[in-house]
Amino acid sequence: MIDIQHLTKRFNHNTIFEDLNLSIDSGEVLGIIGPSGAGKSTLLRCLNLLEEPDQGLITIDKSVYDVKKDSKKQAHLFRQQTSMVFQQFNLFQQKTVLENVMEGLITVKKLDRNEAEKKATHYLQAVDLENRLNYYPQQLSGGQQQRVGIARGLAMESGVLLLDEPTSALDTELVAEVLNTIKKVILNNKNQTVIIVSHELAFIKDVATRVVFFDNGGIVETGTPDKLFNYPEKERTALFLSRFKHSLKGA
Amino acid sequence: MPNLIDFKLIFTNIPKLLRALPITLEITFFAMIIGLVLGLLLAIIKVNKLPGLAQITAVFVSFIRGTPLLVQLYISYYAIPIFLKYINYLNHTNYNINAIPSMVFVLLAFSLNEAAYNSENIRAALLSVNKGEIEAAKSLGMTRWQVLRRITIPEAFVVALPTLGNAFIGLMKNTSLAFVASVVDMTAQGQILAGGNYRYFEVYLSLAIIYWILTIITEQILRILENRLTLFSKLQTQVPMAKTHFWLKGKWGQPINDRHSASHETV
Repeated sequence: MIDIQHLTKRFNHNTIFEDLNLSIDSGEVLGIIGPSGAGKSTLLRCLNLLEEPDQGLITIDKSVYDVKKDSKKQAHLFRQQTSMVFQQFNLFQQKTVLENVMEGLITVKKLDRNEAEKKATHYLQAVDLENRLNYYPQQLSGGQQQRVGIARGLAMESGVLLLDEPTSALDTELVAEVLNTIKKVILNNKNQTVIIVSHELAFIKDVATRVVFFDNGGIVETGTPDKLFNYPEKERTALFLSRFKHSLKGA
Repeated sequence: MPNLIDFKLIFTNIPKLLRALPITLEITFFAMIIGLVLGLLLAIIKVNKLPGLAQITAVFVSFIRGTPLLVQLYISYYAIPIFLKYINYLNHTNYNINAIPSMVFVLLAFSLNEAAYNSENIRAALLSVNKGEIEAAKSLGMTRWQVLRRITIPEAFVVALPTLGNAFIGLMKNTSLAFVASVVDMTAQGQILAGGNYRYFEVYLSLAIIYWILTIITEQILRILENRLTLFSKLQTQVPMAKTHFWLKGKWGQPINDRHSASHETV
């Protein structure tokens, strides 16, 4: 379970969000949608402490991170509660696909090489890349690279997978490939909590168990995909969704 | 006509000069290793803007870059004895100043000089590492030190290799200044040789040949190293490549954007 209380993030004097409260159950697939610049990605990055929040309390299962009290040194321990998949993949370019996934298992999880390799191979199989183990990231397509990114996140077995616009940097024909992988991952493990920030509304509608509409640094509306997409209560939600009418049809 | 140039001597000098080669190499490798370690440390201090230390580093680098190596050698040569005398005076000890091997002055001066120049190269390389990869490493839960050791430094090393190689070659030739601190390196050996027969021109030609060959060997080793290390990153950053380096040809090194052949086909 994730519990976010009174979370505030500012960049200099620019407030991204203030006093944000959100609770997410274990095994939930939460889709966060909203216009660009609303602070969706920043919220995700705050959960992983890649952005240091200015105020608030984040609880993930039994770990509590108090922004004001806990030192930055504790951050790396808290980060182990979540795994991040990045928009730009951010794979380690000097390492092979297999080494990319093994890295965290060896340095953070302290597994020995054999165990790490076994586990990494397992998760690379889950994203259908078992035949690319010894390739370097530059030798892969964008879609394949992002699938490595997903395997790297999953292999840490943190229980919470954070997906930050995982398909935004991809060519249109590669988007489906990555979305299918994410869907497979979600269906394979019902206990996996997933938070996904995406503009692929049709996909969110398809896989999310709950959707949050985020705008101007605040949660405007939250609900099941069916309710939020078909019967939005707030005008701002309806306006935002109306721009995506075409892509949502048939979803 | 008198014997203006003794061509034979140019080559017969070489084995005699090579006897001092170990000294030249000793200074080069020692200064490079200390220069790399200390340079990395200084670079990390600079990149992280550690208060106090960063300012000291900046002054140190500025001083080293702003003064000739020859002057630094002399300073090292005279500063250490003065410093020891002062310590003797303060603590009423009796360290023998004359017992310090002259090599110490040379190694100190070259190491510090190398560290200052390397620190700038390494700093630039550290800053060139993709921020996304560092974030990814952090997000896995790695500590700052782990990120540095496992991701940042290996990646920066690949970027810094060509400039560090350049520094190594420069250092190897600069060791010829070691004679000012009365260390007999290859060049000093040459001067001693020529002192006996007054064939200075020949001995300097012999020295030039040796240094040149040493440099060519170093360049080849660096090329092999670069070839191994940078293949993938080069492919990434140089697409489309204007020119295909010969060492990039091969499995993945096919010219990615071969405009000339394409235009021939269409004409």
